[in-house]
Amino acid sequence: MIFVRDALLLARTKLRLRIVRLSFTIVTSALLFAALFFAAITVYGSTNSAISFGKEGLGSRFIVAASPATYQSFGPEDKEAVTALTPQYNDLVARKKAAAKALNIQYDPLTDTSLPLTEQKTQGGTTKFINFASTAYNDYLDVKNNAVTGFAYASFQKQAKEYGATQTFRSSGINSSFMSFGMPNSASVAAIINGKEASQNQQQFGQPKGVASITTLGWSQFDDKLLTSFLLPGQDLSIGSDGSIPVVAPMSAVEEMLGLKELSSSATAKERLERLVTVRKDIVDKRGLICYRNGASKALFETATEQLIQIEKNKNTKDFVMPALQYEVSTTPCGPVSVKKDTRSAEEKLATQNDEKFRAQFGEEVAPEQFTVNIRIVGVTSDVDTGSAFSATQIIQSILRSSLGTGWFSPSSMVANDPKLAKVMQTKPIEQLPVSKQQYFAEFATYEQAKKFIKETNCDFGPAEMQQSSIEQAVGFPACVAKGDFFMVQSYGNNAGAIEDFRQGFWNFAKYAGLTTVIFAAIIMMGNLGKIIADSRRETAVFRALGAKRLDIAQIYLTYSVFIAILVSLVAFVIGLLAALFVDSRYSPAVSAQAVLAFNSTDVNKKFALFGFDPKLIGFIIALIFIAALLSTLGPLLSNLRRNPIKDMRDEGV
Amino acid sequence: MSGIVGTSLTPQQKKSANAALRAFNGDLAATLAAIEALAATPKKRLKKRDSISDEVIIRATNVVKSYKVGKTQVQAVNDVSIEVKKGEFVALVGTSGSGKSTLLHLIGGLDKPSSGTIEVDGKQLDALSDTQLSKFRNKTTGFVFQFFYLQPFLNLQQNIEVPAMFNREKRTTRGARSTELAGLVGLEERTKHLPRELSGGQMQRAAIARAMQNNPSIVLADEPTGNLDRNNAIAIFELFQKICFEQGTTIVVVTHDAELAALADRTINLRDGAVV
Repeated sequence: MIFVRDALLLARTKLRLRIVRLSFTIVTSALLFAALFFAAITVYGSTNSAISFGKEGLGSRFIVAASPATYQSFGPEDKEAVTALTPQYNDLVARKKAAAKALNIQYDPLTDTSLPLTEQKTQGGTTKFINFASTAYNDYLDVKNNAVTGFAYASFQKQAKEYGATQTFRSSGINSSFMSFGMPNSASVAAIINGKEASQNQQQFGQPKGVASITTLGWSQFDDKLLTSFLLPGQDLSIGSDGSIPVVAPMSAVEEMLGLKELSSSATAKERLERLVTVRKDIVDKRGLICYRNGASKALFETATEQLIQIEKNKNTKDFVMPALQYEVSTTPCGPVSVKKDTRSAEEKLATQNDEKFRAQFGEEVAPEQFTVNIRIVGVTSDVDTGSAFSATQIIQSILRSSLGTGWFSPSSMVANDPKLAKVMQTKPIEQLPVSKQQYFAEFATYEQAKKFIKETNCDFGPAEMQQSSIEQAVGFPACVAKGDFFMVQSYGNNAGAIEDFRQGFWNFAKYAGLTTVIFAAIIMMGNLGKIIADSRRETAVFRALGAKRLDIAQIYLTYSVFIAILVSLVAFVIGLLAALFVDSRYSPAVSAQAVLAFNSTDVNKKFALFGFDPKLIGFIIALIFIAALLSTLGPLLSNLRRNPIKDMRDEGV
Repeated sequence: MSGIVGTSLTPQQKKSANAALRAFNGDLAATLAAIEALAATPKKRLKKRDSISDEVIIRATNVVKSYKVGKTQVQAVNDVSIEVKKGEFVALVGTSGSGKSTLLHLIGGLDKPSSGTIEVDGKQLDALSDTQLSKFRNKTTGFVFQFFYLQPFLNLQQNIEVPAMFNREKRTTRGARSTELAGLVGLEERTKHLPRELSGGQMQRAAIARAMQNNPSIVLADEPTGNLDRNNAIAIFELFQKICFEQGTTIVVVTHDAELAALADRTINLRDGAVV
């Protein structure tokens, strides 16, 4: 072996040979590795920022959500359910027919939407189908599911504890027309804005946004410990001095309450941050009203509203016949619906009375009830994004989203303490609700624990079970129960797990991408180095004549390949660095704004950098470049060393 | 004018003279200059020595070298036995394809004979391993090539030092030697110049200095003047004489120029691979 300094001197001279080819080789190889550098810098920067932001909000909390894998009919012809409900159906139909006869009203079971089953005429006679919206069917499911002790919260707590959960939580929907969609005369909540109840039809089609989202997405009670992560600075979860209920609402709803127009999707980062500052400042002590209407009140309100619309619409129509019973909607928000004019005959009035009697006799709430609940916004969560993410910013933002879920949230501690709220909650405290209406949460200290819990306890029924499930028989869920997997488990609230997975997965990706890059780069470099070495056959022969050993020659060419590796590393690093800087400067402000909102950061100027160096990862890529360079040298070098120098000299005409 | 046809001139001399005559268009001065160059002969011949050491430094015995060119077996060296004494200046002479370069490479340990033995400076070359042969070439011999083969991006001094690099000599030691050698070949003012800044004669002198860097016992030169004009060719041979006579280095030069070969102590003629 010759001195390193001499090897460097002799190898350096080769860098001046075939400059164009060498430059092309270096740039093309560098571009491949630049992509790796870029990814490494960006991924490391963004995951670091996510972790930094995650210290606020739910970002750093490894929470899993579990829903009991309760029995549900796969189709309306579920034999088991139909068989179980048939006696009840027959009994109810018989009783209703008798009651109708006694009250002298018409009754047709085929149009009755409250029966547990519906009958339809088919080719073979009549077939009974499940009425999913009926109370009887839901009661049937509740009884069936509540009988499975594995679904119980206590069972979940025990299981979570075995996997090292630090704490467990529960939530349930308070009221939501969305959740009770299709249920006849179900109660509902609506936000009052500008003195009017915001109804669902005021919403834009698609994403439920603004204050009307409470009607669609629902209002849920959540464990206080979870909600605290979303509190605005200076806010707490206690009942206000005016009795106001603390609520965490979606950003768009808060904006609407403040009279702010929603920012367009093309809003700049600066505009988003300014909006955030405004919202945080102005929302303090801002009160709102939520209107609760029971099923009867809601039905009456909807009828009255529709009637007023029709009357207004037909005020100039000569043939329009005014209804005999005209309603009047209170000018007070959430007020009762009163009768403005009633010109019905005595028979008609009696028929209505008998109809109400009939419905009341069979458990329907016929007396309208409505009142307002005073709320106070104490926290903001992200809006539900149902659209697909198309731009890079949207994709990054969707990864960063830290959210409680969909809808509006209040602390569970309020439920037991507020009588008005207890009414809104439709009766029962959370622990008394059926398991099917509950959602459980477990928090773990590490992502590994959470991941293990999900992997090992999640009810994961495969395609085989799904295929066996039919409209006549449910198999999937019972299969999970049989295996002892009582819950559908998934990570919750944030992407801490996903970020962790991404960070861990990036190493695996880097290994495969690195290997592929090394192969491609080695092929590209081999083209150049092979040519350089082939061009240097005469020089090798001369060196051999001057006393160079094979090892000395190898040392010179390997040193040359090290030079190439250094050049490729430098160019690749600079390109990767510039690209990462560009992405950082281009997207970081927008992502920072989103992150401040998503993670509820106290510092609105906190930067979400998409830029960072992991010395280990950078070193790994540089090592890959050196491996590629050395690999590309080996073949041509070995072939050159095996050659006869005399032959090479003779070929050169010596 | 039909051109120079004199039989006493070498083919190269004839070629140069004919080129000069073809270029003649009435410029008598140019023609005279061409003829003067043609007539140039060694002006300052050093006297041959009366006595040379009896010690044999190169001994080739019944050396045969054959190789295949396509499907044809070529006998490049055919049963050659020669001896060269220490400090002797020997010219291997012969026409193209006579086997003189092959014999030089065999002596230099760059190639191995098909049969026969070669002993150089007490070493039986066919018994040496590849590494030992490299060491032998580095320390015992110095090569000079027709086309110089200097490293284009190393300066003259660095070029001279290349063999010392393969000998792992420290920079200070080899620097002193290369400076001394640059002076010996008359290039002390050009040590920082790159080869492209030198003339052909200067490049070959630098190549000779390079061959001398490790103070070898033998310098092997393969057609060292084949790419030089007459004056430079003579100067190179005079340099060989100087090295040989003053430093006692054995010189073996391959040439087809009989006039230059005459400057050597002894001429070995080869024809069809055999000594004649």
